[in-house]
Amino acid sequence: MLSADKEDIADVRATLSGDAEAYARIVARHAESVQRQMRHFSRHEVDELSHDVFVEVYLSLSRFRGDAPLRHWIARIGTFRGCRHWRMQKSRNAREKSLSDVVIDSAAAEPPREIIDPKIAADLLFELLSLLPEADRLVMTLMYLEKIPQDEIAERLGYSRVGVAVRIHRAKKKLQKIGEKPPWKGRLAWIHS
Amino acid sequence: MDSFLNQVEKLSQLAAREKEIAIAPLDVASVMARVERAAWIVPACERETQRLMAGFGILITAAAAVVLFFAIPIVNEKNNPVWAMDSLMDVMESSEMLLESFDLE
Repeated sequence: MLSADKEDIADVRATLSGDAEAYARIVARHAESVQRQMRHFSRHEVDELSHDVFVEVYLSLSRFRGDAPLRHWIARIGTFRGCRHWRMQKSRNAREKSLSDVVIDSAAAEPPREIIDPKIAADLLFELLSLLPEADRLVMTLMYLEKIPQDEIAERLGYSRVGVAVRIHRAKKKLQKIGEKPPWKGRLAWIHS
Repeated sequence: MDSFLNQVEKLSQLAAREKEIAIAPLDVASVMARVERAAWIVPACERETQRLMAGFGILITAAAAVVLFFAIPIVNEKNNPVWAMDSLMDVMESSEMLLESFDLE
């Protein structure tokens, strides 16, 4: 167990016994990873979602058993909070503004790979994955944006390993179909090996 | 030309470098303020919900009791052989009256 994990467990115990400072330490320790995770669920409401995650973590802290590191537990809560955000967005029928007009113009000259801003690449990937159904989008987001191995995806979502593999296979087929039609056809042609 | 999926895979490798970009730190004080509010509001909402549910429970139980109070005697009466015999006699009497009316014609 890492020293940060030990500190987490000590702070969880202190928080449960009423020490607010201890929870502030947990927030400070995990804020960056939560913010980075929430960027994969929304490009514009990262801080708002991060706040929600820490509120949910606090309210369910008494159910934390301590048999896995706190960061995994927070990541799991973050994943479900992010999914709820997608659902709420869908129900409001207020999808985030399409980034197609601010990201790379496929008709423009192919930009050299080394000058591609990773943020632009992440925006583009976020936009592409948002076209998938929620369950597929979630698995592909964890795989492509969070770079989590399939075993860990299965564990985090409560799926079987085979279930995750099947879901990824189907999602890739759907992505392939999306790539065959405009506006995505040829839009990533500037990417070279 | 790479296939679209290969391009997506490479795009994800580019996107992964986003981790190297510094992000504005989260304001811990504002998080703690929200946590404190939630720590007060959420249990209060849960208590109110429980009270509301208990109220509904009492209302539904009372409604069920009233229905049963009126329904049980009716069911009992209809299951009673005397009530069945009376009904049968009524039917027979009606039939006889009908036949008599035909005879009169």
